[in-house]
Amino acid sequence: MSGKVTAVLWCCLLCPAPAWAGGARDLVITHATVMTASHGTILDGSVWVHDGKIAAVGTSVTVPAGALVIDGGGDTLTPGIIDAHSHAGLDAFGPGVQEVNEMTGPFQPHLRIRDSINTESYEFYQLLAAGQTSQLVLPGSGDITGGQAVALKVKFGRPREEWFIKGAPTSMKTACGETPARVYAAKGVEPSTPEQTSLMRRRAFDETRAYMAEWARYRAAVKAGAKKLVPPPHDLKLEALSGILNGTTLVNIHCHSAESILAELAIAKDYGYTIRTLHHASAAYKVADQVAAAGTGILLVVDWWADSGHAHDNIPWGAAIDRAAGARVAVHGEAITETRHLTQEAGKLIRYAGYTRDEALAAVTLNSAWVLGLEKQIGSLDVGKDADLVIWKGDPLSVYGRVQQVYIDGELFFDVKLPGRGLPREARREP
Amino acid sequence: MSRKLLSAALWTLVVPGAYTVVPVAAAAVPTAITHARLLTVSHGVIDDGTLVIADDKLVAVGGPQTPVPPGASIYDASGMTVYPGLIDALDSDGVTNGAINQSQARHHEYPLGTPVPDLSVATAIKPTENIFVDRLNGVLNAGVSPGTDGPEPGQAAFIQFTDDRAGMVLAPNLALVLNFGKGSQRKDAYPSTAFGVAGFFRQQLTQLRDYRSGVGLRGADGKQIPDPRLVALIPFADGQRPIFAYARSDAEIGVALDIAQEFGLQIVLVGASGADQEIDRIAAAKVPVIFGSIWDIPGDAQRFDHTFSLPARLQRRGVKIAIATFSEAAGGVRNLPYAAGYAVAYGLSYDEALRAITLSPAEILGFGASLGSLDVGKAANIVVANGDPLDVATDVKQVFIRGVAIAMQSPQTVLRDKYQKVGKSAVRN
Repeated sequence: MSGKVTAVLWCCLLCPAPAWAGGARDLVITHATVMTASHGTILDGSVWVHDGKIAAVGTSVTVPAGALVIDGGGDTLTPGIIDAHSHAGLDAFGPGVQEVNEMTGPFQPHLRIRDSINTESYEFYQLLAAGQTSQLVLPGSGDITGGQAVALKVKFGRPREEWFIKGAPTSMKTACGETPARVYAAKGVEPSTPEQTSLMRRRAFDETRAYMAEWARYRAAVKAGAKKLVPPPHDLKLEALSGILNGTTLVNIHCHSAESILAELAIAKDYGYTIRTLHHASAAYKVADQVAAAGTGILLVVDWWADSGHAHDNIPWGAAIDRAAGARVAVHGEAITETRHLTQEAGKLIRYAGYTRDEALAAVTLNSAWVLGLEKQIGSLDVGKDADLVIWKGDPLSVYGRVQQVYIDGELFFDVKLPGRGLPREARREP
Repeated sequence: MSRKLLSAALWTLVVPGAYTVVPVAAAAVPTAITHARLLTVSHGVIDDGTLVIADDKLVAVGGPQTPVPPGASIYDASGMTVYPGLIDALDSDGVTNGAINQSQARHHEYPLGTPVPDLSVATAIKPTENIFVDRLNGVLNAGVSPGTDGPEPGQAAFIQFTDDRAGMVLAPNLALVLNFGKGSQRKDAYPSTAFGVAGFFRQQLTQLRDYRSGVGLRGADGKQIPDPRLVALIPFADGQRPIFAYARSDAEIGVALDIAQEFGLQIVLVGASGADQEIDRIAAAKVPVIFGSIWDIPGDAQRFDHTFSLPARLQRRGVKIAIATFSEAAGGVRNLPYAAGYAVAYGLSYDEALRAITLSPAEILGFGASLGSLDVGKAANIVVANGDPLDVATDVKQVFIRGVAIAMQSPQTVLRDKYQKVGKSAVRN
């Protein structure tokens, strides 16, 4: 980015409320290496943003009168990076308060992790500075069903209600046998084995089916004109599990071993739902054809193994095998330390899995968006999508890539050239 | 050859039914690596260079005219970049493996956190799976930490990534760890606070002075009763071997420098990922830094790139640095070159970054004469890769440890080779 443009930005940022801050005006980024994540890379390309959405992408775009024009100066432009497996900001009640797992019972499907999120957590600033624009924040894997995840945009500095992506599908976090069995065996209660975890999930779905049937009968009777019927009692847990059985809730399963993955695929088949995504999926490559046949995605960590016994068999070539079998593969970070260099983790797929650069980028953008069920809204530079953009100096897939600017819905949220933490005025805390 | 047979036997004990380690080239025949881009670290880059290995050492390093001994086996490295084996100045490879954490692996029977200055982590070192995995990415030596449990968790060791328990430890008493940082404060015993930790070190070092001047308990024969814990401190207190002062924040670094000054200790700062105000004092005291992890999250008051840019800032202000992973979990150590690459992205010169994971750690750890650069007489620890050693897309094609081209296999490649050929699930319900 040229110094001249920076000066322009500076002026804008010093204004109390720049006209384009709400994404209302037009923004055009020119002369950038545009990596679209969906349809290749455009050298010396341009992107036009109108009202917070991408209005044009190409070798040249029409610049509307009054648009803010940023000369990319040969820098790389990518979609905002998405981590589909995050536990960031779960410190609403201060350090030391465990906010990831409600491990007082193995089924917590009614809980919503958004109720624990602290949008003022500096973890989000660290992630924003790494080009992260969206995340799926999930409960942990201590429970068979840990609760509902939340899809958010990292609008650091803004009120929390602006973060949560409106209209995002409900995503449920569940865990296969291994971890809940370890957690509850330590408490001396069930499930104490992976097999028992599977059995309890089946029982819970049996109960959910009965609950759904009871409500269906009630509604049918009311519809048929029955008066003074007493409705069945509401059960928020079974209500939440109903979303899985009726296909409206996306199922995210923390799962490492091949055996556990097969057990979960079998349950899904028996109860008529599709698992959206296996998270971590260390040994998914051992059963990749079966995962792919089920239409289930694989969200993995490229370069992380033996972190626990279950992750022992994770190998960096896993993505190659998964993909060859036809599975959709995305890459996540797990810990914020890894999420801060997620594009480099994706870059490793070039070495280990024979990915092209565009494919590697898609593994942390478009494919991650699919995990969230938001692949039509975010994750690539396509007309009509949210203008979540990152400008990089150097190759974002290498260790040398450095985030210069981050835009969310067409608005600037991070600029490395700004003083302090590089946050625009409204997001800055320091005087 | 007996060593190789032994290592193969050991390996099968570690991972039953895995594979046999077959050397690509026998160390007995000289090996010449030709047409390589040589990153010597000590004397620049040689394009179209030649390296000659005899036994376990480098016997020639030069341009295309370098004579190749008759009968030498030739490794044509056209298009390849060749550099010295990487050295992770501090991690836990050879101790941790799988789900076993370091504390569990420590071979002693004291309660966790008990000061054990006389105990070396070397007793717990073995060729774990990490060794086989991490060396495939070019990391061939490491300083091994005894952990961070308590103020004096023990002595660090220095290892090479060979297959044999007996041969892999190069220095069982590499350095004494004085922990000023995370884990130094014990839970239910003295010292349980940061100032308690500082007081503990002052007491112990004063006790050592007394002991060496003949003050202390005497037996019935009038002779001083030997105190193994104090005796163990002597080579480190005298500066014959380094003291690793674990300290991350300015506060921890400040206290470590205070104690070193008060007792005339030669320390190496280990960590320093939160350093800021103390940098000039570190430089003035001529204290080298084993820096890491570069992935540590900066404090709330710091910019996102505070830690990323620290190697450059330390170096610019005259501090000698090595970059280390500090990895306790498996999977981190092979990322050592990328930590150095990140330092380049945030201001460290490329040459300094490569030096910070090769020659600088060798020098700081006392192996500068035998490791860390492509120089005649040094150990033939060599990496052959298809590009920039510091970047993630680069593939390491071959490593030589002590002149032996090791089989590029690990427990992970065994899984890869098994499952990428199956074409359908090998596991079925």
